[in-house]
Amino acid sequence: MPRKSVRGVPSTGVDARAAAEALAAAREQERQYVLAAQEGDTGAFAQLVRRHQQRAYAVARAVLLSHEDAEDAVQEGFLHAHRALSRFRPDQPFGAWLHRIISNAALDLARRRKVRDTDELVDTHASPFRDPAEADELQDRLRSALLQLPDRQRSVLVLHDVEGYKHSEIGAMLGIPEGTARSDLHHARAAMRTILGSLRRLA
Amino acid sequence: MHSDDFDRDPAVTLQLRSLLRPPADAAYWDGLESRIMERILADATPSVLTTSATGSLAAITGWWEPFSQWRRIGGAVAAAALALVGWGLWDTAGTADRLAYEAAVEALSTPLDSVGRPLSDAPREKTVPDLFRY
Repeated sequence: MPRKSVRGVPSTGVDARAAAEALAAAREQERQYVLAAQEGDTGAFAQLVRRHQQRAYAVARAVLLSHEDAEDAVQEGFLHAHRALSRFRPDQPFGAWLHRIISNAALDLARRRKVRDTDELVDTHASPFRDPAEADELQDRLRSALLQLPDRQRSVLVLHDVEGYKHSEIGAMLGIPEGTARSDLHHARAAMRTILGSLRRLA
Repeated sequence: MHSDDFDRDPAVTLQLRSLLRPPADAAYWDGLESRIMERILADATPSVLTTSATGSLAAITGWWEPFSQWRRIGGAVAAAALALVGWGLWDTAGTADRLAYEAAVEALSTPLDSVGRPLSDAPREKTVPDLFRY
């Protein structure tokens, strides 16, 4: 006689299993998109873009800060990914591979626009002396402080504290050891404290 | 608290999240996807882009596209032709060598008329015996 209930299986266990199955299904679907895209199906690649563009944007923004630059880096990154797609092994996680490409594109762009960033930094240095009552005052200071950090430290700080990536993921993305990502994070936080402290004193 | 969080400033993190918040508008992401795909399609079609009569961009495929299916056959034919030419050159060179050899052997097989040279009494012929004498 068949059982009518599933006693003994906690609801959280059922939820976890359902979530795991959904994740596996999503991964399999992504793998199918990758395989189709490797065969030249641009519609399948468009699905990959749709799935990953927001995270890609977050990665690029962590490196570049500027919205426009981040968008440029995302476009460049997806273009590079499409060109290199034949070399990608579909059994690997596509997101991690893509984020590595996006972060490289963003770092390249950051290097190319270093001069422009320096100009922006000079502009934003003036912000602490503006009317402190302005609503975006703290954000201006924050932007100014972030721009004073080395590219890599800034990227690690934002990817970890804002985007919630783990050190191992950040290391893979930026091509640095996990320990370096960890120490970059602490250096970046210390530098931010110092810079923001001095900006507060100036204000 | 996580071991990485001992020096984190929650207020700064909150402001950073606000500063770097991605666009929330779905239309923005649709637009970005379109721009990305436009660039990819333009990149994947390296042939000339022209404006059609309706004003839209139409990709003109390369003139060689209809022949692409013949590429493999053409390659095989070219390889065979190359092999044939190589064999012909090798065979020609072998024939030339053989003919030259046969000509040389034929020339040598003719009996040579050897004639002993009489000793001369000319002064030059006496030089060596004169030298050895001393």
